[in-house]
Amino acid sequence: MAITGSSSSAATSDAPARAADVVVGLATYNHARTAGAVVGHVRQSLEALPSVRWCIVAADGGSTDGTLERMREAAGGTDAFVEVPYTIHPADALDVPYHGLPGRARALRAILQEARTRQARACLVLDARADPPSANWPAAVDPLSAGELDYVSPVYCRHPATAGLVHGVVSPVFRALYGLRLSTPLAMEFGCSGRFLEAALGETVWDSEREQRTIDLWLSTMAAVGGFQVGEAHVGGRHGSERPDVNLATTVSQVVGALFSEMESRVQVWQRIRGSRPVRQLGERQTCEEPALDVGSLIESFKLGYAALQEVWAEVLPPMAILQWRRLATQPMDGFRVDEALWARTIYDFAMGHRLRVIARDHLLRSLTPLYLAWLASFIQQTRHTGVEEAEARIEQLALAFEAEKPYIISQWRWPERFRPVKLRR
Amino acid sequence: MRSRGHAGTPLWYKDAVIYQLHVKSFQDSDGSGTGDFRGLLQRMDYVADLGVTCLWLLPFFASPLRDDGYDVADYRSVHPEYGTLDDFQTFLAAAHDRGMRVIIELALNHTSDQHAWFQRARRAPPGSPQRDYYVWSDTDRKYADARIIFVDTEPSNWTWDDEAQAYYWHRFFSHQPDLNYDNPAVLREILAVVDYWLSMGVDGLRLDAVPYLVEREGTSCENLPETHAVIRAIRQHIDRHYANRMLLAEANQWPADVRAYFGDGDECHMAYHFPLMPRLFMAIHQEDRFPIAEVLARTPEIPEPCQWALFLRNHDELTLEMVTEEERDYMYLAYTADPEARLNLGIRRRLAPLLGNDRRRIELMTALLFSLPGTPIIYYGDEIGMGDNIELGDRHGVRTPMQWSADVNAGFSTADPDRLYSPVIADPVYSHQAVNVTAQQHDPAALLHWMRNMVGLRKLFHVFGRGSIEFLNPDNRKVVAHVRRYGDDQILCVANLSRFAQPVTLDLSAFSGATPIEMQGYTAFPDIGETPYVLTLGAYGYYWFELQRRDV
Amino acid sequence: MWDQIDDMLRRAALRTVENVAEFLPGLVGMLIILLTALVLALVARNLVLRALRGLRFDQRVQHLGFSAVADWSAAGPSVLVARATMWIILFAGVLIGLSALGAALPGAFARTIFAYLPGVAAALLILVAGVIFSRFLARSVLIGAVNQGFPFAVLLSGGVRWLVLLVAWAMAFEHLGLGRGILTLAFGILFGGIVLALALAVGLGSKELVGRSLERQVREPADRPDKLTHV
Repeated sequence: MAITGSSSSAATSDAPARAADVVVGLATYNHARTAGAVVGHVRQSLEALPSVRWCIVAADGGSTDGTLERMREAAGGTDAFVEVPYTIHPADALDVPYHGLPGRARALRAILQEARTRQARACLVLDARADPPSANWPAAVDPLSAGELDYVSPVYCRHPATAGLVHGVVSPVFRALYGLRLSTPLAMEFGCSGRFLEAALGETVWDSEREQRTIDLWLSTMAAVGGFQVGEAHVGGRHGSERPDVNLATTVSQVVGALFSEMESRVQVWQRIRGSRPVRQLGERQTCEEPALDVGSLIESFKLGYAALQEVWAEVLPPMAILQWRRLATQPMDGFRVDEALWARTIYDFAMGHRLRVIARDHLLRSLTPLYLAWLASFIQQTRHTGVEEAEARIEQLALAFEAEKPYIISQWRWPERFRPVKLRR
Repeated sequence: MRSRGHAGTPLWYKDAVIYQLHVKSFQDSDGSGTGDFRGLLQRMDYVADLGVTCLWLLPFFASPLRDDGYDVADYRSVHPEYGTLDDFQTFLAAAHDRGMRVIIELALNHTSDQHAWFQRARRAPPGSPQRDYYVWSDTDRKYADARIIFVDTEPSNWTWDDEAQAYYWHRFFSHQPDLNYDNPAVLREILAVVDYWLSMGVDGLRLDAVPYLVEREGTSCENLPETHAVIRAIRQHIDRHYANRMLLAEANQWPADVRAYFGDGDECHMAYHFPLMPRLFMAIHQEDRFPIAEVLARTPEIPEPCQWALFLRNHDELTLEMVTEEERDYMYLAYTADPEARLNLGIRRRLAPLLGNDRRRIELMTALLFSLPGTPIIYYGDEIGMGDNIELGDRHGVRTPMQWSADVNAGFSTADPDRLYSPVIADPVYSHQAVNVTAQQHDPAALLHWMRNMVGLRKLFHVFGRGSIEFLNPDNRKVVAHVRRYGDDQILCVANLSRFAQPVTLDLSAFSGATPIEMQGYTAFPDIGETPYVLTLGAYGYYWFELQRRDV
Repeated sequence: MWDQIDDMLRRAALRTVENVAEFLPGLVGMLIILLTALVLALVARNLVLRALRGLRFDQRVQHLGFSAVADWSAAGPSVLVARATMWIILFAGVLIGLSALGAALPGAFARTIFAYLPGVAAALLILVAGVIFSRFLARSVLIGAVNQGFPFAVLLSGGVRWLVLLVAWAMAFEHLGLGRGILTLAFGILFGGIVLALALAVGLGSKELVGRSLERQVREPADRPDKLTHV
């Protein structure tokens, strides 16, 4: 049984699809609060583009809160607004993905397929939950249409500490492994060329359980290693996007788990890549404000974790790392600094534990949460009152540390150290 | 369901690591004492975990089992002891789900004398198409130039049949009459059998005893042009109807003769490199690289889509047919203190006992095998260093039950030990208490982990399966050094055949400016300059280096 | 005399026929029950299998990391569960069938032994499952509690582990039918005692600590890590 959205189209559904140069896709599921505004904004921006045939594709998983109606209103009856359905399995709805859009991979496939039918030269997928919607994305349209770029990933104007998991784990690991300096490899938005969407639709990941949660990371990885030209668009701020009710540990488990699983299926690629290359930047870099964050509670969470989870960590971390983390647990707040190399190695050690299934994968990933909070606390402390440039410089340093430690993960991967002390029964 | 990643990879066999196993000896699921497909299914995760990408199953068709299944009584059914056709299909699907391919045996040169075709043929009148399924003669003097292969058991290639009142031709045992490929009906029957299995999803066929298909007076009846025509017909048939399938020729011949079985890329995709195997053993015993370099120098180029299959040991004896007489005597003196261990023209022992159960030698030989051009085959049990039992007749000593654990019957079966198809190894050094999978899984230093790492490492680099080879000839003959190249990849392999540490000076000026990265530990060695490159290797040591250019 | 012999033979024959007649309905009954059980079992297996597949049980189990369960069966956890369902129904069918056969069973001793065996098997199964489950659950609770910022995570997870183990043991003994009353009583007293002791210890010993900790949790959710955007 599947919940299927309406397959009616605002345009006449039987007539052959009208070709469009640019397709903008929105994947929605109960996003009535924001979806209308996003469609309106997109429509305005598209109408401003001269002599471009465009089309807005809304993939809805059967929203019950009137999302579709809002979008139709905002589209104002234009025949360039198309609805495509996608399926949400009851099973998808059981555990909510961190981004709150069950069946997202199927939604994206529906959009990309529609774009292919319309022979789109550029296809942009935007986040329908963004409030206000991402601005400045039209900067990506030209290079994509002209075939100069195949994949464009967004850069948001925000302080790195407000998206710590992306800047502290995903982006540096992604850069070290696949050799591409992408700042947001799992953004909910991207733009791609016809060539890219053709290649992506040829793959078989779209129905897999895991990809419903983390298809965005898969797309970025494919762009990085599939011989595509990749760019980044500075799309502006990202403030009040609607967040699903998913706790941090689940988010960590899903996001880091996806990163590690991708790593496992692309061994042959990342083990051969050395160094990293920058990507072409589109649009103006904007400045943003520094958020006010309380470090104390983060450190408290870490200390609590240290007291309780040592045994779990000892399953994957070498003794020296445990000692270093212990030193931190006894550190006063002022001197609380997580060494970059330690953080990089810790992530790599967790990746190895994940690969060898030392303990249940979900347990392992969730137990990373307190360590992540420690890193985040240390990062916030180091960059407090230093301005965003300094914070970004720190992130760059971190990424370099991940690159420098890459031989460590390669050697571990190729020749795992299986030596573990015998556990005595108490 | 075909697992992803396989679709559209017609050259999959070039990057494969093959695991050869016998359903009979792997795992018994029903306590009958004989392994079966359901048992094998239970062990699929073990095999997948080892990292191999392809399984080669020894024959499992209905058969009186007088030659361990190579005497087929019905090409379309599974031997009842091993399970049902459904069991086989479940296994096949499970293998594909885990990203593994499956090769099965097609013994097409001969059938069992129990096969319905033979029973029909001996009763049919001479000259009738039914009778002509096999090769008959009124005299045992025909084809006198063909040698006898099983010299220890068969006095002649002809055996008298009372029922038919004629002699029938057999290159192997007398209960295995050869099919007559001069009769077009036979080829049609065999193609129907090929269709039967390939349409089920089987990925490859190993063509057993392929040089002997056709007989002609005045020849050795081996490698005849007519035989090649039969193979080409089979290949054409497969290419027309199926994608990404593979034919593997078993032709125990000199490389130059085997070369013919690749045709112009229009016969078999793969063939075994038989002469290489004894020479690897010879080289390590003589502590001299000459035998390896010599046999590879004598190996002809093969067409692009073709590939050699390499192995250290298999289910047969370590065959010494493809060596000179002097070399054969050397091998006997070096490796068989016990004349019992000789069989036909070979040595019937497993890898570990042949190498004196020396872990370093096993590793060196495996590393050498993995570094040479071709697709390596691992014989079941060799990944944990299993032993053999030469007390058992014929080649049964290397086909004993897989040793899973220290339990009764090595965890292979719950049957009464007397009812096992073959006793488990009882020798104190190799017994299942000493050598078994469970123990090795829990021992971080075990051979099993080494093997798994090595398989993983080899799979990372397609250059091993696809690249060219070029020998460096350092003065120290105890060291083998060669460079493999494929695309941008350059890999330098160095191995010390001696039981003592050895220095070696290599001329690497062609790679000047590159950094050798030792591949297991990803450790950078000093950069290569214009001057000779000096390395020292520990006893039986080996290195694999990735030669990385700095500018990339 | 012939009459007597004839009479005896007749009576013997009659007795045999009577015996058979007495036995036959039981046998037929058993066969019917067995057949019904078989049909039920097969239907149940298919239903369970379909339901679990629909819920993607296999992927979920794998995701949770019960790899131990997956290792037992090549066919996957959902097939395992479906098969277990089938066998339980079949087993029950056999038991009911045998009881229908009733008189045909020889001797009371054999019957008690027969009645005891399933209990032993069930007890063992419960114990093994209990140990595996307790470990898994304890770790889940530990990690979950830590990530929720609960200060007594270790204590809690230990408690959960022992609780599951205790319940498993109690259930196992229950199945064995050993000293039913005493064990239940003992378990009740022990468990009640533990809870009481914990309550007292926490209540009296660390009244203030708990108070402060609760207060903090109520007061300061503003900066809990969950309130930050991490992705």
